[in-house]
Amino acid sequence: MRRPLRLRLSVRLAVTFGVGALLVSALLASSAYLLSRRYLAQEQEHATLRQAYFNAAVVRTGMQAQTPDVPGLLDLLPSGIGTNALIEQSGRWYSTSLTVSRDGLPLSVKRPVLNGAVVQAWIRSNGAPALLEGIPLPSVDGAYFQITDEAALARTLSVLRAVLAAAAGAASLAGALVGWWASRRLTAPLRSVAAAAERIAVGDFQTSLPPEADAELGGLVDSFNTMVDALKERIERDARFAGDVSHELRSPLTTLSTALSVLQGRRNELSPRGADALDLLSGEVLRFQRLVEDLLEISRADEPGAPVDREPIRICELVLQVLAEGQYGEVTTDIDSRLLDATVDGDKRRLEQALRNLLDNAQRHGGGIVRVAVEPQEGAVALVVDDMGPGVPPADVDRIFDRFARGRLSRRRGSQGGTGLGLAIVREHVRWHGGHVTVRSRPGGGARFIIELPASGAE
Amino acid sequence: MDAVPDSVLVVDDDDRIRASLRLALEDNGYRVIDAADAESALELIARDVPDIVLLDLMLPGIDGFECCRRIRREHDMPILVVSARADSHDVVAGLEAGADDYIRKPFDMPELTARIRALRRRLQPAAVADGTTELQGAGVWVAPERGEVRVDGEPVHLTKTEFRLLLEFMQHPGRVYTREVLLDRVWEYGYFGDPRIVDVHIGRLRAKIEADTANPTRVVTVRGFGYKFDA
Repeated sequence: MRRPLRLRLSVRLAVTFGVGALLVSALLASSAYLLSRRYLAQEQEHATLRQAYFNAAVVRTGMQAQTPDVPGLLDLLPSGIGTNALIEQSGRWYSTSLTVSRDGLPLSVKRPVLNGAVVQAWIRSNGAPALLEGIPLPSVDGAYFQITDEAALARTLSVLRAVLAAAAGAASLAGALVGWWASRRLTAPLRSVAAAAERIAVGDFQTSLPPEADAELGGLVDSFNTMVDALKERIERDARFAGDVSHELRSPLTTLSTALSVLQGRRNELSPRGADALDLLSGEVLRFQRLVEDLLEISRADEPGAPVDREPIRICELVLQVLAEGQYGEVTTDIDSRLLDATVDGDKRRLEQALRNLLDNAQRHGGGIVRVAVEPQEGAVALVVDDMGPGVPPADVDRIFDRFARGRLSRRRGSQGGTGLGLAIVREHVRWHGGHVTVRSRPGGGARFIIELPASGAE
Repeated sequence: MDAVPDSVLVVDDDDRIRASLRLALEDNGYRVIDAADAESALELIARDVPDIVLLDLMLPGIDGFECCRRIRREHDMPILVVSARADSHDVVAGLEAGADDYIRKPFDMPELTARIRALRRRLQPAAVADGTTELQGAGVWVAPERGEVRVDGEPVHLTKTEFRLLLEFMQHPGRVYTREVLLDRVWEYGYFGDPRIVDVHIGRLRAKIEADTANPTRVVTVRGFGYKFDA
């Protein structure tokens, strides 16, 4: 199953902001450019037209003289840099510059002027924009043409264009950055909520989010914290309930087992049937007692924030000790010599119980213990318990550590009677130490349970 | 065992538990007296000092902790706390109030009688293997058979368990004891005891024989292993 490709929220926001800023700044820049170009061009048109009228007047006056010296007139004209003038009189052309001749004048301008109209037009002269004015001089049967080079204006405009484009680019980049920053800012609480939720999922109920000043984000943080508190309270209540129930069962159980011990001491006073009934009763009371102990154990494991008492524990010593205490018969023990001094930071009682439960499980349901091993793993110590039972069906591998899983699984309830909590307690205790417990098939049949614990101290 | 049976005072507010314990303990050869609350327990002790006290911590009125402290003011007989609550806080608090050991409800009768027997053995004068009558070290003087202790010449009163603990240390100065070994040798439980019992008793012993309990010089901690006596 493929998830449709979606960009991360922060990337999407940054892109949106960037594109938005680009559009707005491009619009602004181009209108600013167009407006200023139009304004500058008009200014220039007015100025050169005025100049052309003035020059035309000078030319007309000069040509009305007795002996008009047209080339001399051209010299008289107050021409600025880049301004060229042409004079036409009765079909003869005079020019201030060799580069500009009558051929350079477009017909669209020349003809109306010679027909008596004033014309101003933008043309290209020598590859650069230029302004061309044509003013008819009917009183002297001529016309005055003026070409003003406007390369400077073009340069100004191209610089303006470049500046505006750069500004637009910078604005969109800034927009993208703002978008990125805003999305980081916006998603920061989401990220902290996610991180907190993860911590809670692994059972750290001390987690709570720092108060958020912003009203909307504050709402999220507040409701998250409220949810955590409610969850914590509920889990605590459930754990306390199981604990309280088991606790309340302790007193009657004490009476039961004590009274039973009296009966057992006087077994020979009972009839054979009475003695049989007593044995049944004793067995069940013992099982009941174990169940209460296990329930208490597991409800304590559920209690969030239970006091943590860790000390370095020499793991091999612990294994040998548990084996020596229990009645497991002859058990092959493989201890890796490198692990003789290995320690695990933890709680001895919990570790002992976890191992004891695994051994009891192997003995009760696994047809007996084949081998117990302590093996090195990367950064961890593995306790391995092999049994010679039928193994665990693959379907049950994940569920076998669930509470009271036995009833639902393919294993039969043994007459020796475990509580159904033994393996669940193993998992809780191993988890408490930051390790994990797994089961797999042993080469040669049977099940192999492995407790992995993070090692501390010496190799 | 001699003609006069050991007496056990059972203090528990649950009538049925008292009744069943009476039956069971009497069948095991003990003389049982019982009390439903701390007040009557203290009265009973004032009249007839029992050899061993079996004390429930959850009592109406004066609770088990206070009851334990009051008994300890006058008496050094072993006190076995019966803890109904499972959490370790209560256990440690009970031990700190002066109890010698604790057992959890529900308990097996064989286990209870084993503990009582172990506590009972501490009532007898301590015997030192080679017949030494006095031990001395680090300013501490002990007369095992008379149960006397002096620290820098001043007599100090120890409970039976504290006395056994000190004696064990002084017989082997410099030897490092793990908690398990101490449990085995002083409480005589093998591995079945709770190591916290040792820690609490070490704390109480230090309070009595150390000049500065924060920096003990006689019974010192060997980190990661246990304790030793520096002579």
